[in-house]
Amino acid sequence: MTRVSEALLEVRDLHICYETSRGCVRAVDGVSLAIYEGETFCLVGETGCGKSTLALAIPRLLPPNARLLRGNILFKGIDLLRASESELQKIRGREIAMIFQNPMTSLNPVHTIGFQVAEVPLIHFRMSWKEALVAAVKQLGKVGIPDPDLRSKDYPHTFSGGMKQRSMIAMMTTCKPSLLIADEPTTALDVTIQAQILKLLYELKSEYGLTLLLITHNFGIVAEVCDRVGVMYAGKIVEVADVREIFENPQHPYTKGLIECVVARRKSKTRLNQIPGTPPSLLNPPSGCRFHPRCPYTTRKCLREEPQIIEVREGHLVACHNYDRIR
Amino acid sequence: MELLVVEDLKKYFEFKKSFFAKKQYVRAVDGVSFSVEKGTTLGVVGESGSGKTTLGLTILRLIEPTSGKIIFNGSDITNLNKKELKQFRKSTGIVFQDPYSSLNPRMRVKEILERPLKIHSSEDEKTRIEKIIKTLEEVGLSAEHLMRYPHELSGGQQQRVAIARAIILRPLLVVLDEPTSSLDVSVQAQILNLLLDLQDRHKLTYIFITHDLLTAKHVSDFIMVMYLGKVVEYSTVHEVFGNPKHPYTVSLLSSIPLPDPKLRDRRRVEVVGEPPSPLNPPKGCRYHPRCPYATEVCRSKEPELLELSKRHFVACHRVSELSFNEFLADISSFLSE
Amino acid sequence: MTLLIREKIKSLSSSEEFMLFLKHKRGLAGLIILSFMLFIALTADFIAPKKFDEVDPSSRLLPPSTTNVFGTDHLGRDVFSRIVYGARIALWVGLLVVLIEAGIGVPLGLIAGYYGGSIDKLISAITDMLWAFPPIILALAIVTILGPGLTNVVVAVSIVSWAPYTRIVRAKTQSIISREFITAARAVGESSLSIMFRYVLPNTLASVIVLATLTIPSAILYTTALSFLGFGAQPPTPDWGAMLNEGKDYIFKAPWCSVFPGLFITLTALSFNLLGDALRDVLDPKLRLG
Repeated sequence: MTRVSEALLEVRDLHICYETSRGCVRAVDGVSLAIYEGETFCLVGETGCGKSTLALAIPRLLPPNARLLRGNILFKGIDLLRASESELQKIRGREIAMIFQNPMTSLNPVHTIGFQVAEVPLIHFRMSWKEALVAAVKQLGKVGIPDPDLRSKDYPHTFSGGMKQRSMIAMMTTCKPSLLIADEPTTALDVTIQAQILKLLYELKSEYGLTLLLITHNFGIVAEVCDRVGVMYAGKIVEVADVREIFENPQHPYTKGLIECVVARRKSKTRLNQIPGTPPSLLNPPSGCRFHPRCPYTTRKCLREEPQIIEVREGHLVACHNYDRIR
Repeated sequence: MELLVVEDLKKYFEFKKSFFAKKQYVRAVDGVSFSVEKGTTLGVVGESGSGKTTLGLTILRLIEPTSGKIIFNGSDITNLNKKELKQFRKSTGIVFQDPYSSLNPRMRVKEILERPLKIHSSEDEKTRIEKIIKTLEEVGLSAEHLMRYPHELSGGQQQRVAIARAIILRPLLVVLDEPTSSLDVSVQAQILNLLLDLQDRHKLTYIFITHDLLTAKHVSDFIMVMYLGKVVEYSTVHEVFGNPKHPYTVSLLSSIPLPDPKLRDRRRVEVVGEPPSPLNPPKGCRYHPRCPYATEVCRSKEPELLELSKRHFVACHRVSELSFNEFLADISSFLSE
Repeated sequence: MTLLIREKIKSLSSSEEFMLFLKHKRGLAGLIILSFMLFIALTADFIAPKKFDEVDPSSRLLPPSTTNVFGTDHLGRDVFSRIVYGARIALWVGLLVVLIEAGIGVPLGLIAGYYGGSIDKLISAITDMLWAFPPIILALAIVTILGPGLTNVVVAVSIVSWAPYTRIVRAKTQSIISREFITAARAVGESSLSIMFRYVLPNTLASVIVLATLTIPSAILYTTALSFLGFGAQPPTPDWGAMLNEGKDYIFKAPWCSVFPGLFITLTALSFNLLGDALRDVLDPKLRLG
């Protein structure tokens, strides 16, 4: 499958670190990525791998102690990292929208749901307040809130977790953005509600032609909704491939290890495969390949040299010295 | 041999909206009966509001039951005096979901593990330390962790300490409330393996509470599905996953995101709407507002938990009419043993 | 034992909190001033050129000079020596007040927060009632009955002022007991008493320490005010407030008799305030970065 379309979002050699009292924590350490129009791209990894930092960097919503050391993020021809704040404000909510993990804390408790959803089109389009509210109620209905006219006048604390997340989605899709970033949008929700939300995202994506960047640590979600997958470890991208390729033919030992850990794939009461050890410190990462202390295929080269990203097959990228020896 | 027998257990929480409002009750656990055999694992599955956590805490008498009976190791423990309660505490343990908040941030690992020993036995310091180090090694830690504070440990290590604390007195029963849900995928696998090893070695009986059906399937011998304070289905793992009979069980199975892209377009039983408030459960069958198969009788009469076949209990009026075979056929590869 | 102290120091110096504390300029200033006060209090016997009650009628009201760095008072006593010995009193007063107030307030707060219900209502009612009582009036009453003296005044002030401790410990206790490690402690068989003192109390200490450092200045000011009024320290005790009182008649002729005690009172109170600010900023997790 050759890539004819141009990348909607391109991350080039991004380096971001967080300043702490102990030094600069290298959260994103040389990440390059391309996301194409209309696809659902999943960014997978465990805690501390840098996926959330990468997601927040795109609309430039990083906390004040984050430092951009190097790199570009290109979106429709604009370098988001070097754009002015006013340019960015035009893009946030209108072109690039973001939903977060915890709907409890993403909504302002002192404003009604309708007010918060209506604010977005009000800012970006030349609408009157009345028109914005109408658009808000319409969108709330679209995302599955029953009696949207009535409920738009309610406050967030009267909404359940699932409904809050739907409201967030309404807020973020009213302006039909090109790119929707969702950072663990269903982690805090019950499994039946999770299924509903994922279905909603899928439907909106088809209808609006959205491009979806989904951040998750759950491989089930990856398998259910994604077209392409990027796996991150310790601030770096270790593998990128089509979703089927990733599950059937993982080339990086970490990806392979993670997939094999997943509970579903084993007979009951037998031992699960596990990856020994714990993720490394980002203040003082291991030399060479960051995964080498936990990797069953480590060779001397892995200790000395950081692996570069290679295209092993069309559309399948890996950063590993020994990928051809992985079985 | 049945280690635990629970009879019609109820836990209602009082709730008053304001000083003048009428007293209301949250029926968190509303008439639950089951038994657990020694050395087995009972997986208690449900979403938020199902009452599964309240059930776990009530069984251990960490919450006082409103009514019902709990028989542990042959004795009725529903009403115990202080001394008997202390003895009960010695034979039970609990592990929580969030490892960091289950450990006292101001206590070192050594003190955390020392406390159970100091309360229940009277060895000298040296013997105690030996016991503690031995338990630490059993859970995959070592003596070097003795003087650490919880915040100096990783999530997986903290959970190991919590597990060590639960088993250090060699209990008979351990209640685990979502023990791996807060952990990273790679660490989850490590902890689940550890729990299975410990169960094997010490002949422990587990009550494993979770919302994750796949994890429940992996560790349990029996599964009990709860919805809004009641048991809707109970059977062996094989039966619940291979032959589920309650629409809620089937919707739960439908909703789990399965890590196989080929199953993406499988047939599902959709779940409509939101879980209702436990303050005002629906009349009749509690699940009827969200059930695609609800009929008149479901809306008016509460179904009883009846034995369908050997050791398979279901609470549904339409159990003999409904079949979910076509849906199950799609995911049989995942659900079969 | 020494191993434990060494461990504590090692863990303290590597902890993030300590690093943050060192960066807090006001806190450091407070610490430096306080250390200075502590130093002069401890070494009073060595650095004071004269005894604090050494009267010398021939050297009355002398201005600061090389022999009397801070001058002399109306009885010819060396002001510097009196200041230096007075530091002991000021610090001791601060410590005693905190011990009494915390000693009463903290356990009451623990019990009220842990048990709730009618016990809580009773304790809160008593606390609020006593808090409404003006300490100065009570001090007057006690002094009238028992006679004047610094200890009496200190006890009078502290015995109705423990409310902040109770309130803060009660609030913290309520939030702590809902946390899982408390349920885990009960599951292990801990008694209520054990839970209160081994599990809840250590987690409230940060707040109590901050409160203590912020209460001490007002305690010092209260007691010096009472000494100023003549109810507290009696001559020849070199209490700084008493010195202010004694110096007030000579404020124009010999201002150094009042200025120096006043300055030291202010500095000591200020140092505790700055220290308390820094401790609060460091120990309050919401203000921490990262």
